[in-house]
Amino acid sequence: MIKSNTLPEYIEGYGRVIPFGEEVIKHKKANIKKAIIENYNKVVPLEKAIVKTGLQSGMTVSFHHHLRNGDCVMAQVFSEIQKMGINDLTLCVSSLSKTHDSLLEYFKNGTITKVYTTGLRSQLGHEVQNNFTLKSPVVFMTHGGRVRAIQDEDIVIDIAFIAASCCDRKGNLNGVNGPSAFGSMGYGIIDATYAKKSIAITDFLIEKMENRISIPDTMIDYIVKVDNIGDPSLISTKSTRVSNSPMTLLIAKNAADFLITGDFIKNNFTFQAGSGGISLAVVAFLQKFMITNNIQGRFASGGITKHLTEMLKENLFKSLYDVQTFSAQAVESLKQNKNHIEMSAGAYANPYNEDNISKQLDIMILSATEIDLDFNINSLTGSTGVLMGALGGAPDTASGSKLTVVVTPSMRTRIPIIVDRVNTISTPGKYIDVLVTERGICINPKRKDLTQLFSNKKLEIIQIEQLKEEVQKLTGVPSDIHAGEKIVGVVEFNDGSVVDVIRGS
Amino acid sequence: MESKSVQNISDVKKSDVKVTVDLNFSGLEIEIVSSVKPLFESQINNAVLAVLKEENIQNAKISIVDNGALDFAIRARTKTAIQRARSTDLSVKKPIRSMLFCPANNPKFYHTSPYYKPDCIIFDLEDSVPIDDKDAARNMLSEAFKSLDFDGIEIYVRVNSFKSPFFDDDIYTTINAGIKNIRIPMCEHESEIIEADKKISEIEKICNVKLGTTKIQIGVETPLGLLNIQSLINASDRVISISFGAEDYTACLGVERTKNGDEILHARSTLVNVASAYNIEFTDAVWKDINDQEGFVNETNKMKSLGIFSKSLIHPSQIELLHDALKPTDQQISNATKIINASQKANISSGGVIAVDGNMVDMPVIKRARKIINLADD
Repeated sequence: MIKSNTLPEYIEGYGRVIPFGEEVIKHKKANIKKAIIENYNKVVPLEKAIVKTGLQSGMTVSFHHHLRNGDCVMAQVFSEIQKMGINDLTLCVSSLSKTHDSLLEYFKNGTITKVYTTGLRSQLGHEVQNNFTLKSPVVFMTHGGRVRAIQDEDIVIDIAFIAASCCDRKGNLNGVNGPSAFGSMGYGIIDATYAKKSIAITDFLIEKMENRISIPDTMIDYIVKVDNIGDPSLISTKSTRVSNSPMTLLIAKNAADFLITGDFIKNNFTFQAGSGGISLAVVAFLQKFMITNNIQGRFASGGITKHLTEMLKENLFKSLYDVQTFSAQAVESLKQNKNHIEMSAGAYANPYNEDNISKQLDIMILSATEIDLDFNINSLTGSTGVLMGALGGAPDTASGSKLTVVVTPSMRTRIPIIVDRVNTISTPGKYIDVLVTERGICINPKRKDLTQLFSNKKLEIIQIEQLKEEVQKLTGVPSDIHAGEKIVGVVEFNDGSVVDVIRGS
Repeated sequence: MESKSVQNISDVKKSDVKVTVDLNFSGLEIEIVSSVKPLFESQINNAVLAVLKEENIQNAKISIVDNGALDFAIRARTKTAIQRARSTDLSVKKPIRSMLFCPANNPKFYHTSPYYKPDCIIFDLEDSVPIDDKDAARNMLSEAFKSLDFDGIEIYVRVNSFKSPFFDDDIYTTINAGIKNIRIPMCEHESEIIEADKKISEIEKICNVKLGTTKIQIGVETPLGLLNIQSLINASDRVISISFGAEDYTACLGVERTKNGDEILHARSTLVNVASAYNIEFTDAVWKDINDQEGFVNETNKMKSLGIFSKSLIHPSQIELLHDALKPTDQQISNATKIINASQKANISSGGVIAVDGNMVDMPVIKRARKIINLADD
């Protein structure tokens, strides 16, 4: 099996490879839009907006994924583009969900030939990996890396299509009002700032914006009113209730015990957790501890759940920094609570921003589909190498925070999660400090300080090799997966260096 | 607590061996000094291990000073040392607070249930397994025990009732899998226990298991069972504990089982009293509403006030709630610690009375203090 460690120097359709760990010198400054007020009627039909902004074959278009699995903007736009006979486009999107299987025909017929995204799954993933439909490999970027790439002009967005749940006739946008409210516009803000032209797409057009403006009219060239930008029931897909699966609770309890025993939960701590079931349960355990011990954290950040907004209300955090909003209740909080702060992807994780939120984190909780003996984690491909996940902000926050904890079951049905070498490195092991499973807790040997700290605590710490053996005693040793030769994906770290490649099957 | 150990081979008669056993030890350690060590170390070791297995000892430090004894002599001396150590051993067996039910036909529970750290896992062949799947559940149990270990957690199997057509096969599977504890549900007449005892003895013989190894927990689930509890206990030396099943019991009475539990107060009180009189364990009935954690804790507190410290559970989330609720208070722990320290200083293991803080302390009090300490640490 071809495993990821040997990177080619050059990849067709991608270019020269700077391996992760080598110095990257980029730091260009892309032009951002000047605040010019223009007085023309911006509201036009979609086709006209596309013509007016001058979209041509070979250009780059961008979208945000704040509507998540409820998004129906991308499908509408590409349907129109195809009708107009435009093809060979580069799609620069903050992420792709299962609903975007609707784009499959545009992958197949050459409307889309190159993709920048943080994740790829379902039929699109299968198509890319098995049928090699795209001309160039998909470039997987972190949320912070995407901002950097746009700022460095690695990606030049010709036209940004910005879905907005509320828009006025001048082009002031937000995501909190209207029937398809989705919350923070964190990713969209970047696209609107740097794209040559921006088209707002909305299903809720009002005369004059009366409250929040997330993206100002100076960044919007045209406005398209459609019947529907999304399905509200699918926009907030994330589970809002803490799981009662005993396994989930056990892993979460172990993680909370680790954080509490290590004295990491103290006044003014800063915290982020993924949106998975285990992470949510960790937060619930910490909530109890914080109430009992009268602890207030400085902030929680990232994707904001209903649960976190309740903790904000209970004064358990001073503020929330919200790059994407996971549920209708959290949207309501963003609207009402002045300490619930909308944050752009740049403020969140742009690596050039010394002071970004991810670099201010004390604790980051992540999940993974695989972790290896060097603590590299994989959240992009499954244990059989199939594209199924996303980088998201994990590499940004893992590298930025002082303590990064991975929470995962040690096995999923028969599949052992701890392996010699992950199929795909999504976050390099040097940024992962602790692994917490139902069977035990492992500290990355690189963190001698942590090993020392826990050497005289009651909590048992085991070696990752030992845990791997223990699990494989039950599961047996899985056979190697045979990957093909062709590189179909390139995984970038947020500085633009290459962490790994993904091969077709 | 051990007697002065002999270190010199010259102090031991030829062809004899001196064995010293410390049972208050975590893990297993065998120290061998022998005149024939270069030639027979592994045989000596094996002879000791054989006895340890027979006596069901996982934790002990054994010192052997051997002057060329044959295997039978090593086994005999080891056995005597263990038995003597036991008779002077003040420690109370770690109590079973939680018995977690796992349906025996669900493979997942075999490898996941130990993570939740119950004191005991009870694999169920009875009510949680449909009639058509009894054979499947037995095969699952039998294969699972060939390849898994349970981190030293005590294992029980709830077989189908003596009157059911599944009893014999259930018992065979359980004993053949190397499991030593059986809960027999719906016990009512002493004749059932006598017959069950006979059946178990036959199967122990077939499976090459030492006669008497298998222990019985009597399941009382009916008014008749409750009425006959003393004769049920006396029916077999294998009986080590009683469990209570409240669902069937209340159904027999024709009443609803309430969260308040007044309708089962008599049964509980009677059973815990009988258990105490016969110096055996008692395990309380399950709490069925897994979402009502507050109700569970209330019931546990009520149970504790009657002198019951053990409960059957149907969900892992109840384990920590139970263990926390059973934890003694800091005051109780510090008193118990005082008593144990004083008793060790005075070395009253062979009887007698000492005073702690002006109160008389004798063996039962020391035993209770040990029980409190055992409930205190996790």
